[in-house]
Amino acid sequence: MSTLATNKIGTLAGTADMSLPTTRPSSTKSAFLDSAGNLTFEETSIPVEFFVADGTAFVSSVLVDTAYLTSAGYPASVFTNGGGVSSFIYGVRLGMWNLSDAIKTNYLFQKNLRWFELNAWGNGNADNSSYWCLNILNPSGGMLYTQNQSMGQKHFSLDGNTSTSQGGNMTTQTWYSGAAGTNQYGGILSSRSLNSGSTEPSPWSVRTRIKAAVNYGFRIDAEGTISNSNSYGPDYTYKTWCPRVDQNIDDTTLTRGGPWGDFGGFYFGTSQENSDYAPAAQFGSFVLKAQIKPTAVVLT
Amino acid sequence: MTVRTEKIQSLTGSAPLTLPKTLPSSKTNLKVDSSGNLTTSSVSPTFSSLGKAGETGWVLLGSTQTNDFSNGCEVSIEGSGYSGSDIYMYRIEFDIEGNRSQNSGNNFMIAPYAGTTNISNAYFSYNGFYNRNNSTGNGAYNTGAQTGTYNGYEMYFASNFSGNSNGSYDYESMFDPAGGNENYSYKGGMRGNIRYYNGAGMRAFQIDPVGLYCDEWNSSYYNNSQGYYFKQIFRKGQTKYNNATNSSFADKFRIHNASYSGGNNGAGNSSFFQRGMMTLYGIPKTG
Repeated sequence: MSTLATNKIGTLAGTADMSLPTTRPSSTKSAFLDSAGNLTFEETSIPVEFFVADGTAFVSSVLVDTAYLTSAGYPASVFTNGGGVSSFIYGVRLGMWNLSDAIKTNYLFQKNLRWFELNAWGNGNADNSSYWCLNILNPSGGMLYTQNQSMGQKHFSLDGNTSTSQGGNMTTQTWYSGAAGTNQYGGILSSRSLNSGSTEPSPWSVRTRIKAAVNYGFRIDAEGTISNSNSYGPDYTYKTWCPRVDQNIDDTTLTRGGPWGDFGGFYFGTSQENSDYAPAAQFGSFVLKAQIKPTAVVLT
Repeated sequence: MTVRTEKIQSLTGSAPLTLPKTLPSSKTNLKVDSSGNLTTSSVSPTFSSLGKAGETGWVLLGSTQTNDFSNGCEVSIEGSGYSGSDIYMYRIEFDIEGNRSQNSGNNFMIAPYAGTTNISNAYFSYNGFYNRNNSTGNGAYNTGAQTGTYNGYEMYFASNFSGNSNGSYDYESMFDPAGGNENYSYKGGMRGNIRYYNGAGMRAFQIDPVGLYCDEWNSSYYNNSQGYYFKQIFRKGQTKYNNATNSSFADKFRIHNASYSGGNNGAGNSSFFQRGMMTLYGIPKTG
């Protein structure tokens, strides 16, 4: 620091001596001025949620990605299935690919990552008879499962007015090598539908956590609230139909790089590529965070 | 006043700034507009404190990882610079596994401590979280605090966590790309959050209605090399505390199977052990 006596410069009317940084930051950062006149920059531009109060700051939670839906509804996303057919489906994608390499290197590295948690809330006012999917993606933002892998299919229901039984395999909602226009996608986690046969999708919420597990790669938790009728609310405000994971999803066709070498984010949207199934007016907010072992802040 | 920064400190830029004439009373964000006016914000969030001035908000107080099955898992504020009386609300984030086999499940309870003393306010059976596959009734408040050092508890989390007793990998191996590749190695457990009010008047667990999960291994769903399914969880209502006290403040939390934790002179019964990760957050009473 060099002390700049601002009250000795200019009009000499001030009483605000300031100690300025001797170097500029390498990138744009927030700055602070304290009561002693010290002008400082933030230590890092990495978004973090919690710190140890005293001593060295630690990061335990990292904001990975966010997405929002406006009145335009779901945007179209291009996916390529196992048959090499690319087509549009309608949904949002959140994942690590939007993060800087510094964040991934310093915080979200193998063995430091514990789990990802996706929180989503939304509302809509248009009918949609498509299944509503939550699927897991690879680090590049593509589908983690790129062929008809029954072992990759998990099902849970957030429909509050249906039975309480656990979901089974999503055998009809499989990623498979069909012709363009007939492909269906998803099935990892799926509600029965956002608004099957009804006129008003109720406000809904979903929380999903994906955690590493030995061998098969992941444990996936999910819960949420939704009603499939505009006459009734969910039977249980917080009823959880968790996915039954009944087969090994550590498929030999995956290039194994540890659990976080495979997983990269979530897809959330409709299960079919037909635009008729894209909610015309779906509002939503999505926040994806990663929980890590408390890690010292790395200055960048 | 205008300070030509390029003329001061040998800076080579051409960015005339208009500096403030007075200093803020506390550390405050700065703003610079396109005319070079450097001003302080009307509010004073800082990088590590995104709340109102003087309030720290949630801070990370401690984190533990127990790799091998042990007689309970604990996390405390030791080393954080805070004491129990500094914190009026805790949030305990956990990922705990049990070592019981299918159809012989493990039960998880939680207890608050002040140092090594269990300070549970009474105890509750089947409050908080409970396996949907079992009874849906709330358990009653039980008279008398269960304050045994090892076998006491305040909240009965949930029951019958079962996995498969096979498998030799430890907790850390799950996160290791070079981790194990074992058949039948799944362990049942639970993950989530619970809060604990530690302020004046009383201490009490607060059920977080979302964000808790548990699962168990079940051979009925066995296929290929692994099989498990997730239980369905009820968030049950909290039975009231009839005799909550606040004679001391909590600074540590322990998740264990209270029925078996106190045996063997405190060594516990190794057939009902736990392992995993616990992270403790808190809101200090002062910033």
